[in-house]
Amino acid sequence: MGDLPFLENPLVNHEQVIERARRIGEARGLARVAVAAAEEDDVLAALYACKQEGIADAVLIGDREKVEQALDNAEVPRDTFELIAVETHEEAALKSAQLAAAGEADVVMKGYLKTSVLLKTLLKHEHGLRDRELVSHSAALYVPAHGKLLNITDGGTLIQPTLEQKIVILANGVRVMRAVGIMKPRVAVFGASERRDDGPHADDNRRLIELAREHWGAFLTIDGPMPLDLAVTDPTSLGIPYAPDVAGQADILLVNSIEEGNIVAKTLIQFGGAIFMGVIAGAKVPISLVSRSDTMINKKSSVALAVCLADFDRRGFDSLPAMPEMGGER
Amino acid sequence: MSDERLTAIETALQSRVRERGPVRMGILFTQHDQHRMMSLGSMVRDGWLFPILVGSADNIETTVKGATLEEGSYEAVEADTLEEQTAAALDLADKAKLDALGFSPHVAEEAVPLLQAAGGDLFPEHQPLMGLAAVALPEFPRLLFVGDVAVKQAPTVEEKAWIAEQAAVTVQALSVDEPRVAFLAAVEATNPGMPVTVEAEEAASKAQVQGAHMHGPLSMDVAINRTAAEKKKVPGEVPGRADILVGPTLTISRGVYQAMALLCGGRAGVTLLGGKLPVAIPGRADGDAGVLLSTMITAALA
Repeated sequence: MGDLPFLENPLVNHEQVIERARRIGEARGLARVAVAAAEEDDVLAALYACKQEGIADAVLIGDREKVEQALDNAEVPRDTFELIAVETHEEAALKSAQLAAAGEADVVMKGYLKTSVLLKTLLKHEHGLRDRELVSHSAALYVPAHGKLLNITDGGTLIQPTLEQKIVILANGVRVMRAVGIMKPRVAVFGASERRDDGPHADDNRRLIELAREHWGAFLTIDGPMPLDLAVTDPTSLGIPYAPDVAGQADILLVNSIEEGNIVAKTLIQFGGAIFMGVIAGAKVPISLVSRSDTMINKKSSVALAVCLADFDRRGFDSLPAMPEMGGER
Repeated sequence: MSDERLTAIETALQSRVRERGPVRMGILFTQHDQHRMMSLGSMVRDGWLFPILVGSADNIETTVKGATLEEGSYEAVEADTLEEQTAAALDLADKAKLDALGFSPHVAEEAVPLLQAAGGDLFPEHQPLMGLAAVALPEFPRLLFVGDVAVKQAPTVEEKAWIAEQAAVTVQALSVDEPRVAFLAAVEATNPGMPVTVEAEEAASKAQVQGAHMHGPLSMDVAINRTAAEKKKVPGEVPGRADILVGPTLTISRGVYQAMALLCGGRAGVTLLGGKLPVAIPGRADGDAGVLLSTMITAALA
């Protein structure tokens, strides 16, 4: 078994992401997802579907009795997945970290435990999983009216990122998009208007854009502040004399707060038929977390995205160089 | 552009403005938006708009011809720059000759600074203003309103409460007797670690309009989706049934309304509220549908 050729064209929707994960599985064997505290029936149901469809396999970590009960609840045959019995959530998190560090798991997935417990354990230096100073959440949405994926980041983990944190969020977000074949993503730094520079984030964002252009010009194009209309509509049709390198075609919407990301993403999901694929990037292995309210297709697509990201990371593409301000890949 | 396919909500709005009779609206527009002025003809013939065109002589002539406006169905005031146009329109309004104002999409973003810079009693500088977007979404049973989409980057708690009150009163004027207002956040539980949730709760308890219901913080899904509200067990009048969404910042409110209008198949109209006259300020990306809906809602409020 060997590597697939890497993507020549960007993946444009969740179906292509799932198909890519399947082909990775065919070429290299199914990716292994280590589920920490696996006693969560909706996660198990999603992973069962993933296994049946050739997207990923899983190794379940948790209290044996509870996991078996959850498998029964989810109507998943007990012998579907390997099960590693542990007693506490901390042990489950630790075991998932050890598997990932030993290369025995390609993705870590959150089960029935607090995100903070999982992340704290995974990112302890001794596991060697901490890649940078920060992990961040990417919500890669397939937005039908946009005709492609839009990664809204970070609407999941950081409440009000600082400039330094935004640099890392950007690096992580770019890596997620590269993993689905968008090798030079177009980044819109979110704002109320391209003409207003009075927001509390204006100075940070100006600096962020300068730094990104200076250090990462080969890896991305970036512009902002950019309101959503300009990010998704051809500026010439708006009559705006605006360089069209990002405008109208954004791949990444870099937001300034958890609210900006969360509320805009949920609007697109509730009203725009958007399919949500979430992944936490920045550790040595992708971390997948799905919520109970996600649909089955969202959950499968999220796992598939994590599989694509794990595959991309393994290939050793050129990384974004480190910035003096931190944030480059190492 | 699917203008023919008006939603039931828009049709109801249309009957309402027809009943009211022609609204005298001072319309400021530039060369750039001339093609978007063509739909004025149908609004005039529909019986609910009497436009007072404020623009350059050339632009007025082209618009009158293009929109086939008959003599006596409009007035014209010649003024070249936007500043001159604003001054001319406000002068007419001062003399009680206007019921409403309208800016064409390309200059709508200039409306707030222009009106405030012009001074005067109609839009005094100390008077807060807000942009209220009304969005008709496919397969959604009611108009959704979003504010503030035009003025204040980071409203304080008091300003958020004012935005909600202004929106609620306005929506009541559009025949929703008990408007439900959601103060948006990322989650629906107040959490000191997330200042937006704290402010949303404070604003919700401060804002008071007879008949209206206020609730904050609410996440977007819980605010408008009944199933989500039930699943997450958030009780109250507002969860799952919000009519009005108040965003934590201008960036978010604008993002929400633009996402709805541009990526969710919606149609949006925007009205500037808080002055003595309502002002139509259509979004630049919302096209002819945006001009129509902004004008119609502003007319309904005039």
